[in-house]
Amino acid sequence: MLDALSEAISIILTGEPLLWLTVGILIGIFVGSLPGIGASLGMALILPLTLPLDGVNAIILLVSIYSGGMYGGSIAAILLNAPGTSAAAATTLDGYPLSRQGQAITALAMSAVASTLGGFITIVLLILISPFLVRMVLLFGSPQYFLIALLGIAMIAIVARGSLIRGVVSGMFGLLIATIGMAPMVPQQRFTFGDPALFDGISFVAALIGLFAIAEMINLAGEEGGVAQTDMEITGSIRSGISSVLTKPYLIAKSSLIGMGIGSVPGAGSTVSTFVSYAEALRSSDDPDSFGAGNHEGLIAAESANNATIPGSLIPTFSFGIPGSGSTAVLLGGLIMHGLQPGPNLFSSDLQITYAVFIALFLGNFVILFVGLTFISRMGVLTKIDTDIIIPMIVVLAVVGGFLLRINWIDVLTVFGLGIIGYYMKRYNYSVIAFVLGIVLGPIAEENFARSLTLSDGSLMIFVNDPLSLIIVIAIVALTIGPAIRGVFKKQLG
Amino acid sequence: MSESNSRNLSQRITAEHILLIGLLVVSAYMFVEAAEFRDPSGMFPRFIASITFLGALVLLLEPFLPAPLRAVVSESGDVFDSYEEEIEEVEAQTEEMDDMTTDREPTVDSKEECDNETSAEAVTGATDERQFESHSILPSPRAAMENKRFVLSVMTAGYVVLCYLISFLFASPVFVFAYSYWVDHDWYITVGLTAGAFGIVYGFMGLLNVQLNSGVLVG
Repeated sequence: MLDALSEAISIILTGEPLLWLTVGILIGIFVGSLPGIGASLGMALILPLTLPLDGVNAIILLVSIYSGGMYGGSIAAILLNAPGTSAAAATTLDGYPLSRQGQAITALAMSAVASTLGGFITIVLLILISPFLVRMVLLFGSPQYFLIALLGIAMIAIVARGSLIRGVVSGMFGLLIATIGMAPMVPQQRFTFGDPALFDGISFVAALIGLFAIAEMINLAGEEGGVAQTDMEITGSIRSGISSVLTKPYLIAKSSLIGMGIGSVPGAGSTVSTFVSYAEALRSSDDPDSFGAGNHEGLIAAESANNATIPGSLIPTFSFGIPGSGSTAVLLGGLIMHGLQPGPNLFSSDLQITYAVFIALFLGNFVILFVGLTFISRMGVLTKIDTDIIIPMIVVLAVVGGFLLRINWIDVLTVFGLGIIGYYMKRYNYSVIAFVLGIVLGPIAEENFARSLTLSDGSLMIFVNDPLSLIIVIAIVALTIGPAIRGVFKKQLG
Repeated sequence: MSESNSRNLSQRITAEHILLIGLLVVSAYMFVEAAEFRDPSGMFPRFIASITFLGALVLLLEPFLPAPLRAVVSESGDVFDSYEEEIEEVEAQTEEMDDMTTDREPTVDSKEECDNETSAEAVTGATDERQFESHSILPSPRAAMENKRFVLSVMTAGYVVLCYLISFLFASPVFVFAYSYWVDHDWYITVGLTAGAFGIVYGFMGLLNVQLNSGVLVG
């Protein structure tokens, strides 16, 4: 373990990863600060460009965009009340009122310091618990991987904000799309119309580009004028922002742990973690009435949970190949594209790569802190870029990037087709993340199901005959029938 | 009478209905087609296709379902609902403050609220402003918004076709120029963006050593 850690440090110190780390954080802050763009879109657009990079640098670049994007989302949230990312929605609640009170710089400094500390605490924790993660991941075989994939699909119940049936239909549609191409274990082409371009199936990275880039641009096209519609005078004090955060270590630790814990639940994501953290800060505060009117604790809770979600979300992504959010789905695409298979390998033979990514995330927080505190009074410029300048360039990047994935026109059609479908799915509250989970988890579920049945000569008992499998089965059942039972209880309690 | 019925029906058909019909057609096709596959490769797609078909059918028929069933269909599965309820109050407070001080474009969420408001107003009577809009010759902001989204979708489709015909390298500047011209950018922004699009694709060609300058009609 220590060998892997020292090897990871030497990888980082070669210099190139540090460059990509800085570039990634800066791109992340840029895309994150533009409302409607966000980290997942930025990562999806950059993904095809990482092809010439080696695996470690590519993943460090992507994970740094993710980290920078999470922080960047708070800039527009604080200055404009328009969160750059959905994860920053909780930040608007107290961040924007602080800006209106002439404390924009204080709020931005608090956001930078709280994000950084949240990231620090959880990355160190992730490195500390990684030996246990390694042991846990190595316990998993094909039956457990199938069950974990099934658990991920059952998570659609959590992801499906609004109607559960809409969420299920979205997830199932994703699973259906994932069945296109060669079947696992049996030489059978499915739904390919004899076209060789479809033999490898639909690229889920192309699907992500369509869903995050094209769909988002169509949505953004309906918003008149620039991204920023208001002018905010940026005043306040960096020092008071920093000291306000440093005097609340317990709140930061608690919010960071909430962020990491919820971030590790596939499908829950940073939007949920920031709101839960905010609600917990409100519940435990001595002054709950001032929440929503510029309470420092509210902003700190949301921001420290925000960046703390990232290490949490890497746990299911790296361990089982189950993304916790759109951004981790793109990251997963990056891992696969660069020949890094999530699962036991990333915690055994490739452990130094995993640690290098963790260390990069740790160091990335320094960049966030530096950029956040140095360019604080100029942050507003980022939010004033006209939407109509961004839209055509992103469409070009998305379409060309889609083609570059496999030099395949099917991927271009996927980008366009799922872009249009994704726009209407969002518009009518069909969970796009459930759809993404379906596309990602479909092949994992089907392949491991077939392999397990081969191992057990067709007996389904293989899925319940050991304690680990049984625990996962119980979790799946609880998640599947949980919402229904909750509904009944709700009705009975009036 | 029947003419007004059919007009009512066509007015009630939304893009969601088309989306659901599309899902029904795709899942039905995949269910039938999967029956031809060698065992066991057809089992998984058939299972998934049947759930997709049933789910889409239930959603399509939602308005015709009895009230208790309709409640089940619209039931939220989000286990974090309770937290959202807790902070709803705070959000409402913040929005109130925002409304008092700024006059901004609606966000996506507030636009959805607008949708709901529109349907509610259909029953209760529209606001003065909306009445004015409905009688105005100018398109309403909402219609203009939808129009812009539709035009971007069509332009993107055209761009994809153009890439196939004349290559990414030449189609990208054409698309960016057309979009910039349509949204009435200043000439220097249009020129800058057009050159930028060409530069991006040219950069990709150099960086990744991929042929992006040949289409069916060019190269």
